[in-house]
Amino acid sequence: MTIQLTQLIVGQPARIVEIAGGHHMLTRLARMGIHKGIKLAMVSTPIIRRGPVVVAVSGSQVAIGHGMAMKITVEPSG
Amino acid sequence: MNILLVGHPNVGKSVIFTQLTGVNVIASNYPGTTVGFTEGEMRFGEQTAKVIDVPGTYSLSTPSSKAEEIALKMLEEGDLIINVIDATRLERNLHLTLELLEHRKPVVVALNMWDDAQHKGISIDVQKLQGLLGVPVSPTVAITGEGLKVLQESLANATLPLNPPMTEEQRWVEIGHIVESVQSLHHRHHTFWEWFGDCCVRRSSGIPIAIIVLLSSFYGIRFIGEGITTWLMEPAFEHLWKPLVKLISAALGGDGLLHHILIGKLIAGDIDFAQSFGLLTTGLFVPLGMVFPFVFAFYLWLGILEDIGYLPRLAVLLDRLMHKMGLHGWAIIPNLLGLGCNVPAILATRILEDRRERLIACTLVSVALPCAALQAMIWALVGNPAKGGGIGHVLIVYGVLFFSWLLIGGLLARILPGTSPELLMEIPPYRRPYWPTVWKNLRLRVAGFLREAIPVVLIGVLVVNILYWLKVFDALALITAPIMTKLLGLPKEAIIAVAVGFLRKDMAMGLLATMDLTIKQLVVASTVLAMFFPCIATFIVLIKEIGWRGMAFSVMIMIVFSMLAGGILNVIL
Repeated sequence: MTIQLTQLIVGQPARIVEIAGGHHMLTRLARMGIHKGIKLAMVSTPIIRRGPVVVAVSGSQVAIGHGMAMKITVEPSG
Repeated sequence: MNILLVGHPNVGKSVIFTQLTGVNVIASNYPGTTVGFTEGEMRFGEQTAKVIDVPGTYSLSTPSSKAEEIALKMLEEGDLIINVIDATRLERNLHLTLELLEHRKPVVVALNMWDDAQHKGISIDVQKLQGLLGVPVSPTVAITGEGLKVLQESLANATLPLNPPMTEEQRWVEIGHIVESVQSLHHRHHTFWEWFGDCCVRRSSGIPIAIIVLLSSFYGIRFIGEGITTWLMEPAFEHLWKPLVKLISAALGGDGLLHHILIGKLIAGDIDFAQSFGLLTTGLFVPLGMVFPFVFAFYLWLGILEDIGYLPRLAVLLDRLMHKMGLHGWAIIPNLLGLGCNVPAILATRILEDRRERLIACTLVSVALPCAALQAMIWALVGNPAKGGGIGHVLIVYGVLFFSWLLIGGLLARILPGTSPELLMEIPPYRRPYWPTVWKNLRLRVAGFLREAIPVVLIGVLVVNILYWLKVFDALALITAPIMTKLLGLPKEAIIAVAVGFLRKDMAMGLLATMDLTIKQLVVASTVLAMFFPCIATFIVLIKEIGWRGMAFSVMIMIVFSMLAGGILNVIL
């Protein structure tokens, strides 16, 4: 089952299966260590509607703007 | 010989730089503190080598901000690269390392924050990592200096790596292999700071925490600043300095051009440090007695918030709001810095992705954010009960500035073509403030303020006094009288303060203090002064950062909105 990153609940780990963005967005994410296949976990969902999400990925936390997070598809695990 | 310090943002490059060269630079717990570059020297064998602290960059391909562009350009000038890695985030950091290894320059790796990694239960096999990368790797703890000697010695063994170029995919696969074979994790419980860090960005607790932090900042800074003024600076000026100045005044006969320049006017036969407006009286009292305490308090507070790592959390909270102004959450950092001094704030906009964002951020900083020096004077004048003012009046000024900030940001987001990029930002871990760093940053910033402010204020007071004596201002006042009196309801001499504001705004406020204004006039004048033309230092850095056209655009907005705000305040108050 796959969902949008924005729908992932706090504390749940998941794996990125698809990033639906252009080359520019893919490189921006990749340089922060976020790419297809990597595992992450949700730290906090938006405080204000359409605000950024915070995820834990490869040992640190990254905030991702709402528009970008919607384009990331993940598969929840465990 | 050029040695470059290269690494991700916020891995401690600046701290290592200071340790190697003895040159102090500002370091903080968020990415993007170093946006220009700093050079220093260190011993390298028999010779001296130049060490360059390069702005943090995540990758060598396609720079995504001005700061990264600078980093990429500088790489060409290096003879040897020290790649600084955060040991707690090995996987993420290695991507840049692999890119550097393809760059055909000798590399050594500093595995920094080694102590943090151990606390977090991460152990890394350094020998193995060294073997896999093919270059020297030394664990370091930059803030204590541990491991730096070994790092320095390893520079002599720096080898030219012979890695074949890889594709993006291959790199991540390679990183996966390396991390798996050198790193092992031990389970451990969450620390209090981790738990608290998460609370700051969570739905239920984030906003209350932000409100508490901002309110306590507001009152804390004022409490510390006023405390220093009342208990230290005022007594020192009254009891130690005044008797001396009185002797000089008497020796000069209490009148004449020299007395006018050095001492200024005697108020009721006595020296009044706030109003006499001579070089030795107001010229020293404004920067040292009134502004310095506030600047000290502001930077102490900001330094603690920076070092703990709160600011990136605030950026997450405010992302939505900033989007309405054509920016994203990250832009809150230059905006907060602007409340200290507009110059570093405008430089800090280099962390933003594109030109449109930088233009908006620079304009907002220079029009709506009063620097600490100006704020100190606003508190001293508008908040002075003797003039009929108080905290309510100060809040009117702050309120108008805040409203203008929102309004101008919203307008610019609509009229400038383009869209605002999405937020994508690494959030550093929370940590207890490390006092030596906080103290060093504070010293650097306060010293910077004193070096810059005192000469300019003294020269300014000198020039103003001479021009007064020559009655040059009378002509200027006559020309601009309609705007000053009709639109703003100020006496026509207030134009002198506005003109002086081009040199320094705190001094302009000092000049207003001598003019015997009503509290309403003070509110109008300080709002106009805050929003009108920037001071010369800001003006120059604006031209450098956003060009003549950008600067002209910003200045037009400042003039229009300051007159609008002043005119409206004059009518409704």
